[in-house]
Amino acid sequence: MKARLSDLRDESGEAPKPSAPDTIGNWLDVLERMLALPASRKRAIRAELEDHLRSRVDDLTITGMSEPEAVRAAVSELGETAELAERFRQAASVKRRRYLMHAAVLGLAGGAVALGTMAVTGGTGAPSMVTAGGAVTAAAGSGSDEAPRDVFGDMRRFSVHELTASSRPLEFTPQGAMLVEQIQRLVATSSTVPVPGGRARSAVAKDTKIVLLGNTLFVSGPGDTDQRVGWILESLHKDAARLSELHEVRDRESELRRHEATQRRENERREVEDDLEQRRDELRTRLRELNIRTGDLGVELQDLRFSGDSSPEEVERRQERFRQIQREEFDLAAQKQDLETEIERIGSILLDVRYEEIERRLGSRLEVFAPRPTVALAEPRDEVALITQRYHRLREQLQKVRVELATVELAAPSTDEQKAEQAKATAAMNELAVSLELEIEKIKEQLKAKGTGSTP
Amino acid sequence: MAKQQSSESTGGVPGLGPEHAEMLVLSVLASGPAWGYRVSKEVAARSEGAFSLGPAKLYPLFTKLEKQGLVTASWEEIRAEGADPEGKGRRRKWYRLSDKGRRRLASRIESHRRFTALIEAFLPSDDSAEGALA
Repeated sequence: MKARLSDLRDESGEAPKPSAPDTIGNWLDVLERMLALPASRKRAIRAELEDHLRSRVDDLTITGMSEPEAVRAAVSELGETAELAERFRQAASVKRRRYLMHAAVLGLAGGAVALGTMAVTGGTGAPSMVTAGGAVTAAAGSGSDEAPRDVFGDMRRFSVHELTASSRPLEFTPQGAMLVEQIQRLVATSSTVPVPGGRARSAVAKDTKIVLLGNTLFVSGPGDTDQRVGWILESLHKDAARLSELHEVRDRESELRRHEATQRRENERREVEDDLEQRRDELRTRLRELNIRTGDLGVELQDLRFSGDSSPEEVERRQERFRQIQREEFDLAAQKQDLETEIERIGSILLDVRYEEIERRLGSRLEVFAPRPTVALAEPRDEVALITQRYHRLREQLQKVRVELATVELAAPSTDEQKAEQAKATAAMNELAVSLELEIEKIKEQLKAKGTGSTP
Repeated sequence: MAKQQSSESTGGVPGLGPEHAEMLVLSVLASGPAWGYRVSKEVAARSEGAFSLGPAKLYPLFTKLEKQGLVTASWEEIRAEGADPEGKGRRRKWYRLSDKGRRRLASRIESHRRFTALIEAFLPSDDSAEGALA
């Protein structure tokens, strides 16, 4: 009997704090949910791993590790939970594959039995026992045999257990019936009989009795019947073994192919992810550049507005530059908007790519313990939405310009210089307001053309 | 993940393939019934720490061996000394080698010996080893 750490008490007589049971229990809960196996099997795996983890924690704490550390170490030794669950699933599927293989072996029994029969070269006297490769064994006269001796008397017995991987007796399967039928046909005494125009080969199974009980074959017959049956079963077993080996090789190969395919998919995903991240970085860099340019333009605009007295040519030049800056600012704003939309779209794709990968790893059970995030994956915005957004932004700008204009107009300049400055600023702002209004009108036209029907 | 790899490393000797892992587990069980953690420790002890059969490999392997009928399993409820006899204990799964498992082990050992004998034929004898490798 091994004591559980949580059941032990220290020198002060106090039981250790139950940190381990919680952590281990939580981890086992997660694993259990991820196991794609029947409930009873899940419970068995859980119990076994719990025993392992607690034993391991006990050992590690004896070496001086604290209990939480020991729990962490023990759990980490089990590796990634999803991978472990997958290993259990693969291990549990072995039997089914083998059962199918053995069914196929028995399906091929005709061919194998024919080969076995070809080896029969004639009677050699008294029936003899046959042990085929240590697997097909005859159990004649064994006192421990559970077969009813009064029924089967001195019939020879052959265990055919190795020919089936199923726990279900061969007797109850179609393969069992086929085996008996084929043996019956092939152990029959071959002879020739007269027919019109000559003689024909004939097979007589007279006095041959074959009974399949559970996974034991009882045989009685004249001459070398037992020997023939032995050879037939031996041949069947050899074929089963060969096919089994072949199947194992095929299993390994398909496992390798699956692994390679997973690796390939993973590499492709990484490439897509890298490309997207690179593109997003480039766009962000471009956006930063545009922001810097917008800032520069703002400064220049400010300088133009408040520059001192100049000649009419200089004023004209400044006004022209003023208009250029405004146009460039509009262009920049549109470009920035496009860039932001593209960056957002790439972010959504990346999120999708990564989420798909997580989902692939954890399978459909992901939702059980980690509900899909409610973050709305951004849909690519349509053109109308973008234009509408720009319309609102321009309206805001226009509003600000009008407020600023009103402020400037309300000021009462005392000197001529100030009056001239006020006039210039007013003119510039009026011009800006007109430009904005024109731009807004253009947008309205665009929206009408898109068939939105009304102003946003 | 890195931790797991290091725990399952084989300490500089060639890695344990699935067939070797199976042979080691069946060999340990040939000495008597045992439960998973004990088998794991036994493998580490017998190989002086060179082989470490971690739980991530060991328990799926047991599942496979059980499915193939190479081992049989039974459960035991264990309880700490002095613990409440009415309380629920921990369940431990014991594995035993089946007849089929014994035959598989014999076959694996034979194949392994044949293989090492064949390899041996290519290696220089102890006396001439240094000279041959010089």
